[in-house]
Amino acid sequence: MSELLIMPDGKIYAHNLTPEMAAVLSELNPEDEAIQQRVVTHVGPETKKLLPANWNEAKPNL
Amino acid sequence: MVSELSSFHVQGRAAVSSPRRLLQPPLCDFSASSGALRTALPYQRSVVAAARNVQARDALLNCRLCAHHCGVNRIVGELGLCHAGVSARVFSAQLEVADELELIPTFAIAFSGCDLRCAFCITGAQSWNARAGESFDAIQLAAKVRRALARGARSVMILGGEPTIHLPSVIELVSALPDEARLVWKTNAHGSGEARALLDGLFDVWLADCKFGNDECAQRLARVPNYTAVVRENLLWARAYSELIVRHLLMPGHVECCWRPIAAWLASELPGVKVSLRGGFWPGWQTKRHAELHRMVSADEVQYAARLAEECELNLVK
Repeated sequence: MSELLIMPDGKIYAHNLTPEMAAVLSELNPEDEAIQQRVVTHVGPETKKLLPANWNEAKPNL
Repeated sequence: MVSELSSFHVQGRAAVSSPRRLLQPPLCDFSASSGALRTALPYQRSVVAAARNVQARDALLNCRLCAHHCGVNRIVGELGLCHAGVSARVFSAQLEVADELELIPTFAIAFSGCDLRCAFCITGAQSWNARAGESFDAIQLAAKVRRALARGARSVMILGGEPTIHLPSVIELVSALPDEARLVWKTNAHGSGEARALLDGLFDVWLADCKFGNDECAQRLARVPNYTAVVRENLLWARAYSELIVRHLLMPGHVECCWRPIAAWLASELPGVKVSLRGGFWPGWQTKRHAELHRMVSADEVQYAARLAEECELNLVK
């Protein structure tokens, strides 16, 4: 379970961020570097071997 | 929109002139010069942990696991400042990605209860209450860890609250975990020498909070005395015996009084150590009791903190 705090100016603060919630937040703002870094690293190398070659790391199918 | 990530579910020890092992556990012959103790162990980590189970449980008879040194007998129901009993409880166990990039995804296991009382604690309801969450079950958690590692978890993080106060359960858990797992000890760095002796060689990485740059702020915001000396002692020890990442959560109005002295000390005493400067302060829990904590950290404060880090030539990690 993740917890979010959404500010009036649109900033989102998160803690206990799960891979699933990171994927959702990355959809909301694909330009945000911090969240993108967390999406693309959520799958380990062994799992990546099992994914199709055209798998889009920025938009994982969770 | 900007996403600012913070995962300071746990909070985060001056000066041992030369960090040293305070208690030599049985069966082990650690190499003090090694940065990766586990690999130097003549026995598997799980075996070493299992050998410390009784010693860890006995520590509860006269509990001095944290630097409060309460000395209560938790076995017979006496409670110290953390209010933790004999049985640990866990309020979260899941895969997470908000921590430092080199650690994620991490399977994070959060123990209820803490020895500090930080007004800004992001998990205050669970961290101030050692009875929150579910009963600790080492076998069940180890099974979850194995599934997470199979799913791609890069590390296993033990945190809280503050896990130090539950060291007997932590050690039981480590004895049940795969030896090849990368274990991260997420701590407020307020443990005692007794705790360090029990922890020695069991964790690959210490992710240690350094919250306050002076004892006055620590006493006022977290009700903890002698904070800086205790934390610095633990940081020096952790650096000598494991990988170390020092984490500081920027607090509104505390860049000058807290971050500046921390940055200067790290530059002087732990040059090159990995430093994680976190900007996701969140004004919740008991922050209403402190006027300066009613707001988020400003962009100016974040920039100033980064400039101080640059001036001190700190090794910042994301």
